[in-house]
Amino acid sequence: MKSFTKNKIWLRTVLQVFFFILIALIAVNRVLEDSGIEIPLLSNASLHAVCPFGGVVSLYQFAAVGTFTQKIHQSSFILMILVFVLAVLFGSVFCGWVCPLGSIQEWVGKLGKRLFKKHYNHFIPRRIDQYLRYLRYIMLIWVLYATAMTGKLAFGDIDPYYALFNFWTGEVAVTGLVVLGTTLLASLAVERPWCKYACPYGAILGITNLFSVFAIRRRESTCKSCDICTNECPMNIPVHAVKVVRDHQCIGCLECTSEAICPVENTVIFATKGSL
Amino acid sequence: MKIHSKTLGTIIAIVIFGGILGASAMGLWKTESVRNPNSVQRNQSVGEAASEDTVTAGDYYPADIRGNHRFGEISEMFNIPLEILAQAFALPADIDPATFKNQDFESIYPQFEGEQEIGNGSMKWFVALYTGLPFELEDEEEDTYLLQPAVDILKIHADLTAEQIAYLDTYTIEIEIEQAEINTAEDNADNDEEETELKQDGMNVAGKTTFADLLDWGMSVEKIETIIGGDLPNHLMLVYDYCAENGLPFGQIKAKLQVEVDTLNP
Repeated sequence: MKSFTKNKIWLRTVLQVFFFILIALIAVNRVLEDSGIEIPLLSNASLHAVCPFGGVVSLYQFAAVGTFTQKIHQSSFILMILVFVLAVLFGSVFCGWVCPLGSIQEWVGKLGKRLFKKHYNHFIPRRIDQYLRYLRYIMLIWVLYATAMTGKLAFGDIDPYYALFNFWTGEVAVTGLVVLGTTLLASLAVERPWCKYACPYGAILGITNLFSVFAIRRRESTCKSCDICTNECPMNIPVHAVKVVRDHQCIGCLECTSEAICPVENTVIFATKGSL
Repeated sequence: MKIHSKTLGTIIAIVIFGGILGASAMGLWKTESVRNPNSVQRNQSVGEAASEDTVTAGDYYPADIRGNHRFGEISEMFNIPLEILAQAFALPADIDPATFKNQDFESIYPQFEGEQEIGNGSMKWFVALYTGLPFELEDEEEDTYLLQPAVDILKIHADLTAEQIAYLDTYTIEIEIEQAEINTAEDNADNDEEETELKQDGMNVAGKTTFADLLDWGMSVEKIETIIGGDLPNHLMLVYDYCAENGLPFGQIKAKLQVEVDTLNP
């Protein structure tokens, strides 16, 4: 049996920091380009061009008339496909390992944990929370419908990801800044509030958790039912109560596994069917 | 099969960056797309206009033009008379064209803020058409506009294709030269009025206008169908693309649609 000391999934942190800095530098490079300056070896693409969700919202228009939604480029389609490949294999690991908006919520949440201690991430009663989790599907349907009808980025003016990396350029709609501010503020009390309740991309990726090749699995024979895995889960998934986590909210962060927090070796693992 | 976090992280990085590298190798990774197939044709025709032997070692490409380039430098780089550049971009008489920088366009054309913008992209586009040098017109978030004097110069001096002329006609900012020359207090009232008009260009029928835009602006399906002489296509289609596909004169269709839009939105 391991000690209760939590082991760090350090590579996840490394990738989160890396992708956050990469996207931030690309956003800066985009603005610098207008001044005739560029950061060497770095893309000066627009943020829309490096967001896989752009590919998703463009699907209808691409199928219907063969063009992309305004501001969306072919690179968004490529990224969409790559992320879907990852999602089919591992579920929505993009959310837990790559998405810079998810990362910053997580980092702000560390401050929230210090402020609210045990209460952090447990403010919303479960009976309400379980329904709120489906709001992001309403958001997804609205975004897809509105984009398909108008051919414009319906999500653009409220997109906190775009606001996060462009707030200093003056190009962000006030609504985007408000959503970003609200998200970061809420992150002090709730872990990843945007991901849980509003993210349309998380909604679509979350569906792959229901059938992905790899999933979080719990070995009942060795489990001590200490609930520590459940308490550690940023998405409040009751890991201790299921054999396989097929929850649409799982972000594949592995923080509940024996590699990180579970005190019994080989009990909570990220594996294929039949591995236990 | 169980997977360790290090393996998972490595796979994520490999799939994303390997995928991007693979897509780049196949020419599929495009972060600044050409808006529509017609634009590609325009680009190709610009490229085709310049045969390989017209571009020798040491030549500059229009894509090399930066915001901090002065008109004088551009004149030397591309062998375009300075007075042509000054006339094309309607520089006020009190500005020395030799030292004027592309990035300073906004300081003389405040009324063009918004979608109709004269910027570094306009200079690249003008130089490409004037010289026939290869240039890929990348319309990212804005379309590339030129002032009327620049278009007039190109029509006289450049070897333009019919498609290029159609494009220029669509993306021309009509301006009286004297209006640009005098950006003074006494004309502020006029400029403000013009600015208001230009800022309403959200309802200007242009190359990027879709049928959805026309419907948003209050046009009825029947009216649109009457003007285009056929059934309304998918509303996400560009009017420009529809005209190109059906052999319709975009300029005329655009004008008729604009009249209707203006009537509905006085």
